[in-house]
Order: sequence, then structure tokens, then C-alpha cells
Amino acid sequence: MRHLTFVKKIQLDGNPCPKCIQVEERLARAGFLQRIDAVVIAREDDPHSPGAQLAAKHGIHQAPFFIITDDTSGELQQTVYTVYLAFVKAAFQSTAANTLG
Amino acid sequence: MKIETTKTAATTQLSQKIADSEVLLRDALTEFGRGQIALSFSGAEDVVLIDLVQSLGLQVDIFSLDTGRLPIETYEYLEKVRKHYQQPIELVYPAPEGVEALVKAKGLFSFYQDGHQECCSVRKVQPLRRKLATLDAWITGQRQDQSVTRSEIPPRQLDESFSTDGHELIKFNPLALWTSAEIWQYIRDYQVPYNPLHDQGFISVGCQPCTRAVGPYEHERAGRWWWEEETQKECGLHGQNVIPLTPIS
Repeated sequence: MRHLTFVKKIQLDGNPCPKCIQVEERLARAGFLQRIDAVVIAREDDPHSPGAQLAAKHGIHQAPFFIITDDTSGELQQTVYTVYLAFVKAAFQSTAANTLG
Repeated sequence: MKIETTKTAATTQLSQKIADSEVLLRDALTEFGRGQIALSFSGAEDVVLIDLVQSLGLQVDIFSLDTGRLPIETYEYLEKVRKHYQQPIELVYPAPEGVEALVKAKGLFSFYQDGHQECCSVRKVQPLRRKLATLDAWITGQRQDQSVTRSEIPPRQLDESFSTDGHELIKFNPLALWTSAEIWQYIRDYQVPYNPLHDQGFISVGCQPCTRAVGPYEHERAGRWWWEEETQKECGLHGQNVIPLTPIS
């Protein structure tokens, strides 16, 4: 089973980071947002927030980022994506080949 | 741990441009099905179009005009883009007899004396016409800020240059309202591969003999056909942008 995680950052002013907003909007327009299993928050003012912990665990220094957790092979595999298109292709490959018209 | 963010006011502006372009691309690819529409990739910053389409989870056929005179960096870049996006890029070539006749009659660099239109016609316009005759719509990376000839292009238009009496052709320009700065912000933010010539001072990239690097504060199209009048700097692919010259007296 695959599990898709979207980690976005909440800044000190309480707002999501602009790039996080941009990426979330793109996910929504593409119809992918409802297929994300978990949206995890990395709070700039809280290094113990779930997203900040994920960032530390995977050595990520930039938000937003994505994690695909896959245990279909019987072994738990986690892949981190900081490039939006790379995540889209990895997560939605079958539908990413979708053709309209 | 401190997590960096892309935090600029420009990001908000770019978000709107991305949204508008994604809507236009989706609409275009809904209205025109596979085989009816294709994306014209010049081997430069219009790579953003490919990134936008694929980020929507959509596919579009891509073609590029290989004039035979492109810089080696552009050929290498075309290959890089093909592999990066895992998508074929159809290369469209000029008719050999046309090139042979031109070179035989005028040599390899006649454009410096006679203007670029004749060579562009043989190497770019005629092959494009042949390709577009198989389509009902095409997608280009034209932007309003690229030149005086492009300052009024709309996101969607009837292609007056390549439509015929029996065949109406629609041209989509999803990047029409983007600025060069926004294009480059997107390329950086989304780690899009770009033509290495841009790092050497080339902004607008075309054929090797007709493209050069530009200096600080020079307009991006200043590096194209620099020996010619500004208002005539179109190769013919977007001929309807050209303002007809009128005699002074």
C-alpha cells in the first residue's frame, strides 16, 4: 500500500509559506489533492511539530516536500521528493499519462 | 532545524500566472484532442510549458523545428528535455531541396546581406506550415514582454499566418502574460532543466548564426538578427505579430 504525505510549512506569522500555497493550489487544480493521504505541518516556531520532525528525519531543508511510503513489496520504503513534478509523476504515474479530449 | 521557504512577493504573483496558464492548457487540451493539438518547443525557456502540462497529469505531443543550424547546446538540451520528461519530441526538418537550392544560389550566410526572412522561410516557416497543416491548434511559448512585435499577443488567438480558407488554426500562448523574471523564477522553483546557453548570456535562443549573447540592460531579442530593424524581428513562425513597414513618403 502506498501512502502520500504532503509536508507544508507554517511561518512565524501563522501563514503557510507562499510556495506551499502555490503547490497546494496546483495539486487541487490537477485533482491530486484529494488523493494525498496526509498533510503534515512543519511549524517554523516549533521544531517538534510533525512536519519539522519529518524534515529533520529526512534531512530536508526546504518546504514544501513530499514523502511516498510504499510497503507493496513487503518492505517499507520511503522516498522524499522536493521537486513537485517528480512527486506528481511518482505518485500519480498511471493517471499522469491521462489524456483529455 | 530551520526549514527554508521560497518567500517572495513575486511568488504570489507567479501563483496566479501558473493558475491562469494551467486553466488555459487544460481547456486547450480538452477542446482539442490528441492528434489535433501539439506544443511547439523552441529549445529555450518555453520548457516551462512542458512542465506545466505534465504537472497537471496531462500529456501533449511536442514538436521542435530543427533548422539544421541550431547551436550544439540546443541539440543537447533537446535530448536532456526528452529524457527528463520521458516524452518524445518530434523534430521537424526543412525540405532538403529547399535548403539545397538556397545554399547553392546564395551560400550559407546570405541572411547577413539579404535579411533573415528567406532563410527562415526555408528552414523554419515552410516546415512549420507542413506540420501545422496536420493540426487544428498549437501551443507556443510566446510572451508579450519578449519584443515589440509580441507586446499584444493574447493567450488565445486565431493563427492568421497559418490558417487557410478551409482550415482554421488556433494558437494558444499560455505564457503570454508571464514576464521573463517569472519564467526564471518558475525554472528555479521547480528545478526545470534549461538551455545552458542562458548561462552564457543568451536570452532568446535561435539558430547559431543568428543568435548572440546580449549585454546588461539590452532587450532579450537584441541577440536575434541584430543587424535588422526591431519591428521586423520575427522569423515568420508568428508572422501576424509583425507591424508592416510603411514608407515615409
